[in-house]
Amino acid sequence: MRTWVDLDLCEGCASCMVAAPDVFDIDDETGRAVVLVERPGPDQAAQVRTAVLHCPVRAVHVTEDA
Amino acid sequence: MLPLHDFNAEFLHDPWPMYRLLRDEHPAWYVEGVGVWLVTRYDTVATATDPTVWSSASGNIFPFDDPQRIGNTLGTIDPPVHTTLKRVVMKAFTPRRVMALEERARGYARELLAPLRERDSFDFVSDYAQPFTAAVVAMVLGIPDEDLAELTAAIDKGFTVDPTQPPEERHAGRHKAFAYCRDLLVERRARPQDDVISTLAAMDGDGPRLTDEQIAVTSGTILGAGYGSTEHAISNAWVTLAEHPDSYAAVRADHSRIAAAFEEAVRHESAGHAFGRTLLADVDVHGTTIPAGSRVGLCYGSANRDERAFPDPDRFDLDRDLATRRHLGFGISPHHCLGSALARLEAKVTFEEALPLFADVQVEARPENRLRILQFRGFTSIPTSVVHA
Repeated sequence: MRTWVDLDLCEGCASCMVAAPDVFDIDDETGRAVVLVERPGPDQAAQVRTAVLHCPVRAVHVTEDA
Repeated sequence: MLPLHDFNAEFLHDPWPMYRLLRDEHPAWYVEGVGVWLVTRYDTVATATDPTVWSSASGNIFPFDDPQRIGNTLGTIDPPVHTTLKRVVMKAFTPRRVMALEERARGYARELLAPLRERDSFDFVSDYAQPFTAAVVAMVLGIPDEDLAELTAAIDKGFTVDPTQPPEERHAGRHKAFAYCRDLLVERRARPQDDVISTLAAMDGDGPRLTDEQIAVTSGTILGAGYGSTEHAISNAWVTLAEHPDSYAAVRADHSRIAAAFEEAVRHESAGHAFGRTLLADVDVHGTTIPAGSRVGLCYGSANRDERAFPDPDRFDLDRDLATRRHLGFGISPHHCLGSALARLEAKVTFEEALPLFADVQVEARPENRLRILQFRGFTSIPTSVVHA
């Protein structure tokens, strides 16, 4: 699994950080999300999918490994 | 005629057949007597996002909005002021702060659940959901415990209205909450603490600033929205799980499913049920033109049951895929619920603590205990009987 955030959409609400605190953070300077772990492990996958679901502006994306 | 003009309890208890009829036959329906167009389809509500057309600047809770709220809180303004206020409030109402609250929220949950272990029946609203959500939002805002009972009584009068209630009482309730926040702002400015009001009060320098009135009304609205809507969201999830014993057992056996259960309950029984906009241009809704200047109710509750968006929408389904088709129970940007992370945290803590205690739960969901408003869906009381684990 790979995850990334579309920073043109991100409003910094940090729903992703709440859902997956090990994978996402909010940059205090820019006020936008940052991805800490671009390739989350299997134990983090469910949290990352929750982050996708909870993002109000649909800025969080994942691609599943083939 | 849609029995909404008197906020009929029987209708509000089971509005789903009427919503389906409206979606199919009249996806934009003018509700006589209320003076609001109700839009009920998913695609309409999900795309009502352009604030230059769908304006919030004349209020968002029709027909009962309060002139004092207009322009002073997030739900009652448009960009660019909305953008500024939202940035400031988001800085104060940070998810970091929310995450740090988990253990304290869990403490409140345990404290309230402890006496219920000795009882075979209780009222889920007054014995748990009401005091729990009030305590949590008070903790976020920085409201002392001893002021809470009086303040929640004012909020109940001001925000969770009954159509038979005199308007003066409603306004008095809100104004009391705003006045309280104004006083607390003065106090926190003198002696800051680690809470939202202190953070809002301390914002200065080059960044955007809020007026004192905006801080007081925004705080009062966070209190009203954060307490009432979460109380009802958790209560609706409680009733829904009780009425679906297989789902109750599944979630009880596997707490990792709590998040999905709450999300599906928010879709299925949306506590944030319908919020208003005022049109700044004519809008065509599936062949009906709603003229500029009209007040419109975005019915999230109906949109979340739209069969065009969700297969078998009346079914509560723990395994429903809400990632590819999101529900609108927290609204949609730019006015998406600011407190969704807090609400989800409160639900998680509630069910993690409550499920192990009760092997079985029965509820009486009675029409006469329905909130008689459209903006929030919930109950004033949920008689509950339990089988202890």
